Amino acid sequence: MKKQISVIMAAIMIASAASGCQSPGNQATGATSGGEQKEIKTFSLYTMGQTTPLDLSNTPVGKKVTEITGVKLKCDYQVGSDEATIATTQTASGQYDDLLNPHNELNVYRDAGALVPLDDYIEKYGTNIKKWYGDDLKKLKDPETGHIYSLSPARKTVTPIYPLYGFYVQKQVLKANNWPNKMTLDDFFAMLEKFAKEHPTINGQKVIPFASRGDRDGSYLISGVPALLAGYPNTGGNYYDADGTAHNFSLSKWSHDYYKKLNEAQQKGMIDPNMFSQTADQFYQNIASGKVLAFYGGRWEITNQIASLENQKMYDQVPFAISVVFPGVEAESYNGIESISAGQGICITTSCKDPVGAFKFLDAMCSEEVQKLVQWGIEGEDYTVVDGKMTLTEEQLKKVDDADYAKKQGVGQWWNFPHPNLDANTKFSDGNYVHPQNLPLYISSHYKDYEKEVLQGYKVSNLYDMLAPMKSSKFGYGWDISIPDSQPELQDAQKKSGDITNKYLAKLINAKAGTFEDVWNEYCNEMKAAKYNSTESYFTQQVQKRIKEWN
Amino acid sequence: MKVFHLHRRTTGDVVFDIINTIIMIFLIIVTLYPFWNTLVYSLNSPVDSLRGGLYLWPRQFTFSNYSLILSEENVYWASVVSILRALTGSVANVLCTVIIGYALSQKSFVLNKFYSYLFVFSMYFSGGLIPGYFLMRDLHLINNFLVYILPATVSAWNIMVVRSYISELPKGLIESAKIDGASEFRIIFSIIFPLSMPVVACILLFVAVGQWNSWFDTMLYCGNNQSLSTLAYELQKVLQTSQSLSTQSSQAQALIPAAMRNIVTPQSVRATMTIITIVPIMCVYPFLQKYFVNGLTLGGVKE
Amino acid sequence: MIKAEVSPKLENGSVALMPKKKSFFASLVRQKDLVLITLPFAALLILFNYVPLWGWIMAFQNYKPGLGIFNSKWVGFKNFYDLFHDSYFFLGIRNTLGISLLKLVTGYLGSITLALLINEIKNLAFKKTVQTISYLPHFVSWVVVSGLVYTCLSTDGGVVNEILMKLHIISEPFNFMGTPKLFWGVMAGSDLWKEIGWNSIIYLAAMSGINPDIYEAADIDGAGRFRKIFSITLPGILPTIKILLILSVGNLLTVGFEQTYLLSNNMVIDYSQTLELYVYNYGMGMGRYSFATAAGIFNSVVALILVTTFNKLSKTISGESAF
Repeated sequence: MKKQISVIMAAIMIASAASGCQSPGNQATGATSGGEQKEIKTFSLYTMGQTTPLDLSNTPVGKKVTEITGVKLKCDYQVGSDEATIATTQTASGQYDDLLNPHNELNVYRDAGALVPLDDYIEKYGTNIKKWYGDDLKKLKDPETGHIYSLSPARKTVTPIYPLYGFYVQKQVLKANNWPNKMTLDDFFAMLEKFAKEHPTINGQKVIPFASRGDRDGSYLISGVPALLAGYPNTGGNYYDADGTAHNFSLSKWSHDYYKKLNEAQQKGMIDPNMFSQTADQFYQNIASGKVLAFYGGRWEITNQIASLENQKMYDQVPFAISVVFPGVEAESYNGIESISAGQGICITTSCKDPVGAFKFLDAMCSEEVQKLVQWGIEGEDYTVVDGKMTLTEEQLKKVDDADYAKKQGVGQWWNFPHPNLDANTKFSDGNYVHPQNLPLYISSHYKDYEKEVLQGYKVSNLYDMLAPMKSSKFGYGWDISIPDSQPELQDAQKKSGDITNKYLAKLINAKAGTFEDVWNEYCNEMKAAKYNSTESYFTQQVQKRIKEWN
Repeated sequence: MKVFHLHRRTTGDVVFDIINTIIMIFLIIVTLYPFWNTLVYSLNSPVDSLRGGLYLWPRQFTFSNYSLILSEENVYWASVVSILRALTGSVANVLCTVIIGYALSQKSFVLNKFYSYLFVFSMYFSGGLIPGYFLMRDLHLINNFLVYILPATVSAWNIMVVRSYISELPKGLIESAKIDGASEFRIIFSIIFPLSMPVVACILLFVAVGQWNSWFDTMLYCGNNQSLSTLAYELQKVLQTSQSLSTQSSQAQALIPAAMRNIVTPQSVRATMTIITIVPIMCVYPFLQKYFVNGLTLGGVKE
Repeated sequence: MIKAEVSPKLENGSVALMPKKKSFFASLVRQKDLVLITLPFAALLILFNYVPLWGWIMAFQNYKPGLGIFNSKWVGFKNFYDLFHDSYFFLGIRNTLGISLLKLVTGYLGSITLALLINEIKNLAFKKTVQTISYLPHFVSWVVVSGLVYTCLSTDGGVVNEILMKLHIISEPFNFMGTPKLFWGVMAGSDLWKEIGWNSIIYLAAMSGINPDIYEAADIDGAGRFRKIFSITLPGILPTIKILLILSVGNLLTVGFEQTYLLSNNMVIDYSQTLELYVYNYGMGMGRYSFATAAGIFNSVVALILVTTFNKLSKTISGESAF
């Protein structure tokens, strides 16, 4: 026993000695900072979801932000994936941090009366916010209460240099087929079949002609595709007519045709046999190992995998997005919609003792001075000014793409705070771009050699241009409309039909020869029994409301 | 000890030992693999790990995963809290477990029946998240170290296990002590404890490991108090910051700018976390192991 | 039970002879040491395990955390009605029971056998090594283990398929993770893999408590290995086995949320939708706190019935009981 205790004591001493060297960060915040001439306010910020859980105020950029705004942030964030549990306990206790980014749980906090409506503050103190949000402000009204709770960051992004979503195909396949685009589903699979026959292995591994995420959280990457093939943008489980009428396309001919095509391909052995019996990690591993010829997905999901392929010098296996459509479809919308989405971003809670101060801080975050800091970084370190124009040197260019550096420096990490549109058309009053990635210099120097070959092949200067540009929409994204708790039957129908679809996707695509139609009918019957389309009227009503109020 | 057995070994014995050894070696391989594979991932370059296909050896050896986690300043103080937590928590629990276990093993104890129902049923009842939170708040246990200890002091499962162990102890010992006029305290601390060391060591281990690994209560009750943060929680935080958003795919996430995404992959961080968590346990383990592997038998076997 | 009648007499014959009515208070006073020393712990238990049960009234409300218990709407038995009128609920019960029972059988037999075999190892260093390594997977989280299970069982170069093919047991890779009927087996198997060593610790401890004199006596009688295992070791740990069995019967409706969630996929959904998954998805996951509470109450009631029944059964058959 004695020996044990001495070992444990020794362990404690070592650990405490180690921690003694670095004094715990939070002790400094309270007392010492008060000694300076300007009074520094501290606000606590709680972030849900998985974005920037960083000690923002202690980064070099964060310190400058504190100097300008007089506000220091004490950042805390959700750990684990269970947002619902956290929202439930916090709202039950009624204790919140001053600022809160509720991610998907905004409704819970709103219903609990935890959020401070910002409408009056915007009117009184929101000079910068009014300037940058302008007409978008009316789109931020909560559908239930009509108040604005947060200044959504989900708005026009940096003018992209890659397409958002699309059918991703390995460069070598595209090259061998003389850079095809806007293919029909039949041609697309014929191309994959031919290539796989000619090249059955890649680096000794058997190729997988077509794959997709089929795990629980990823199966929308299959079930959402039919509407895209028909030319509609991604608006969730429904597509909308011009007048805003919602149509659930789960059982549409489009879905039938797409799944049937996948089923045929599966019978030919062209589909990843593990598609529905593997984890998301395994799917991404297959992408990173370069054996998947094509898949549907988003570029932002596979940036790490592309880095891995580059690391292995497998440039021919890097996938590029093209569009695939049903025969006769003229306009495709893979790049989706350009809009602002309410229900996101940082809110002020009722626990905040100084809501006006907090709001003034949010407004100050939107000022040009702070925006230059948080989007561009520190002058001299992260960007250079030449004749009043903000620009990047060779070295600074590299920093822009270095996510590790960005985190340390605190630059580009403030997306959740109110900010201007970040596209190339939005500029500061001195004519500079709001974001360094909009600089033509950045775009032209960004592409690597293997990418330039693709650019030449498709005769475009920006890979984003390979697909039709984002469209504006009268009602926004559509997928950001959620059914409220007051309609439990509809919530149930939505949840159940989603579960049924998840189950049947696997059955449909893996159906044995000649049984597809039977399985399809079975699927239709179960969906109808679950009243899968009972939610249409709610979505129609909401979208029509948006069309009326927004335009 | 070997001599004692050797002169009695029959062919059956030898065959048994050989088969047993083969089974055990198979078991070692099978159960070591998850740990070994985790170790391999923790020592492999994260970008390379994305390709998968890592089995027995790292492909691109690196310590970067470890330096990433160990460069977090908060990890060190949190380890101290974790050690204190595991230590206090397990001692408190073992104390309670042996005392109640002893009381329940005494069939003549007046409250035996009542306690038995009370403790056993508590295992299957839960008031749920919200009442639990309110209770901690009303008891002023939020942001209080005791929130780790008090609710975890009484464990019905442990008590029942220890009770059944104590019931099997030779009755004569306790009874003769009572006749000698020993108080209940004396009986518990000078007879029951030493005789129950195998099971006590076992419970100590279970509780300490449970305390060492738990992070959800830290988040719920002490989430915004850095000085009460635990290692497990800090590691979860590191994992959270390295989570590539890809596995949590949703439409809105497509809008988040690239600079806010993470390069480190969760697989590598998770593997490294696991190793960092296990190492201290493995250091303490032999001290407890000897009680239930050698057990009391050690004293009885002639060397 | 028999012992209980004997011991008071042995302790103090005169007290046991006192009239029955007074005996409770009398023994309370006589056993005041034991009562006083246990009371604080009983109080802690009541405080932390029973006081929060007031939350069960939320099951009869449409509880909204923001409104609190006084302002939330009362809905009577609606949450229970919803629960019992959902076909998913019954599917959940079937899968839960299937997985639990399979886990119970394999888990128990596995860890008891392992403990017996470890106990038979003569070389102490080897014994310690086996014991130490076998418990290691316990510390590897389900996220990691489920990833390994998927990799090992993959049709794409998974080690299990490779071995089976080398042995010519199967001619082409078999999709284990995509076969619904195998899912229960996958759950039980992976649980065995991860926890076998850890769960055997408690039996090893119980074995350590067996009086070594008994083995010596058996050796002198010339008893063989199996004879000793079956007539000394096993009976020696039987009380522990029984008590753990009784206690775990009450947990038949819980199989482990994390494990199920991580190992299941869209192909096996009919066999993987357990009660826990169902209650999370349609309860907390949708902000229906009351619904989840109702399911919790159902769980407790079932557990209570199971445990008491099984306890009684055990008492009648073997005289051994937990309470």
